[in-house]
Amino acid sequence: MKKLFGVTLGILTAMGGFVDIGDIVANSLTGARFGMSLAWAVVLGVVGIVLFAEMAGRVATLSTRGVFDLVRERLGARVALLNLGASFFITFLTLIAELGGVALALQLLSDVNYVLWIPLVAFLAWLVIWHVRFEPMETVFGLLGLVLLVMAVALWKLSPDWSGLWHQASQPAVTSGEGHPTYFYYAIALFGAAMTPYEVFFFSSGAVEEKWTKSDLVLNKANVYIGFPLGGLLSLMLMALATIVLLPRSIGVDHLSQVALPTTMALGKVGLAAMIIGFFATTFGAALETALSCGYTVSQYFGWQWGKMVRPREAARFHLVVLCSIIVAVLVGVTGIDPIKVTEYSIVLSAAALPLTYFPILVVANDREYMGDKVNGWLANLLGSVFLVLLVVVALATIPLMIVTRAGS
Amino acid sequence: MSVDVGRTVWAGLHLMDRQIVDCDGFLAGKVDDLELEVPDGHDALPVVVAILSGPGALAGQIGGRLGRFIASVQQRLHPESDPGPATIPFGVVKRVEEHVEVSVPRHALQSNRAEEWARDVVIDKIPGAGHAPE
Repeated sequence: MKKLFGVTLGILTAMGGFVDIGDIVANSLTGARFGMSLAWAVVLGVVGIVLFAEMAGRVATLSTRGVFDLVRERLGARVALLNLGASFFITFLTLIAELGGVALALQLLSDVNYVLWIPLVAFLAWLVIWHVRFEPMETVFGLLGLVLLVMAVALWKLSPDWSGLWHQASQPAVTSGEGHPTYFYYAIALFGAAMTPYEVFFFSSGAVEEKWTKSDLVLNKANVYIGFPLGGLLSLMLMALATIVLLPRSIGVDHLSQVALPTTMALGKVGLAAMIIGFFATTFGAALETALSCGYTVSQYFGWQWGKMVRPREAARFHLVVLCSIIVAVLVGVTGIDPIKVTEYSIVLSAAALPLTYFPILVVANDREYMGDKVNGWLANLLGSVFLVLLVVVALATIPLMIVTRAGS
Repeated sequence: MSVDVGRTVWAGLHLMDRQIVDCDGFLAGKVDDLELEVPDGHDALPVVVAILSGPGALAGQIGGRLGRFIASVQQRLHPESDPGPATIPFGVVKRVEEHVEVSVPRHALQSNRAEEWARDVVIDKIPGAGHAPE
């Protein structure tokens, strides 16, 4: 019974924790411009993150080591440093975006400009990282994020043409007035948002933080196989709502208020309130995850003691990196830089850097020295290899598409 | 070079870039480089005498302009004028497995100085730095 409770809790947490500012912006924005015709990119991204997060969780559980520790070991000091530079930069960019996202949610609530909220939000995030234990921290914000399920009610209330939505999703075609490059640019944005590297850094380090053992591998599988696809479903709801309400009215998405608009239309103030709480919980949770991931990646590369499982003074350099990352993110955030734009760049650049994260995971997941009899099966290896080819293609296409489409404008 | 009787350890594969773990289970840096000594005698093989760990050793692995930059920062921040990389004598190495285990606590290692600096100068100044994780 206790085990079942743990598994359910893990699934729900993974579901709520899956969504972050990247998914919110990318799904709403593409829904408003392309309808459901890019739903396939979300599905593909979810399959990818499920595949590699399961591997990373399994590797971390059996080796009790973080992903970047093993990246360093497999790639050597030099190549791994380049990898660290790229991964850290993207995770840091995502941290700025998440802090901005929380601030935008609070602006919706208070009418106080988001720039003023950023330092306060960042301080709160740091305080939680400093004081709260890992498990309650992860669970509270994951569960609170499930408030976004209000979107399901909104969808039902709006009683859309379901077969039309399904038709758009199952027989994708480029919307008239949009070019192919723009279409694929946004496909990459959705893909990058679903597969953001920090999710793997955080998830695998979390397995070590929570001291998972071989018997917890069931939990790993349940979280990833059930929780992540359910999280992906939340993303698709955002897209569907934007398709029904924003697309016919040609409303673009450049603020969270437009993301919340369909739910507000369907359910009034209650809908808006629930969406704001959902935005807050998911982006604040992701701000914690990205800030911690900044510390995880750097500490694991250099072999420093990391993690919340020890006292802060016992992982001094780890906490110093987390603290500095948050401070610099605030300094960038308060320049008035547009959080939605930062989000778009962070997910697209994530897509360009995906092979750097996922290649070493695939290699170590086949290493018997660490994995014993829990190495990848043939199906995981086949799918993993196919995905790796796809990731390389995506990575190569990203920057040219970004230039050609002038970042999707 | 053999650690356990009959087990061969390839320095490049089994030592370099491995995690160092101290006697209390704390992570204590990476094996950034190795110090070899060639004993006297014409058919003597080089012996690993120390693990080099920390930015001073890592700089050499990175190489190029970035490597020189890391080395110069390390030298400037270090109290001694020409410190060289921090060494961990190979005598304290207890086990070489997926990680390298040493038989002393990490504060006894030269390579732990930066950690202690971060702790003393920044982290300990913040209220709650010593609170228990559980």
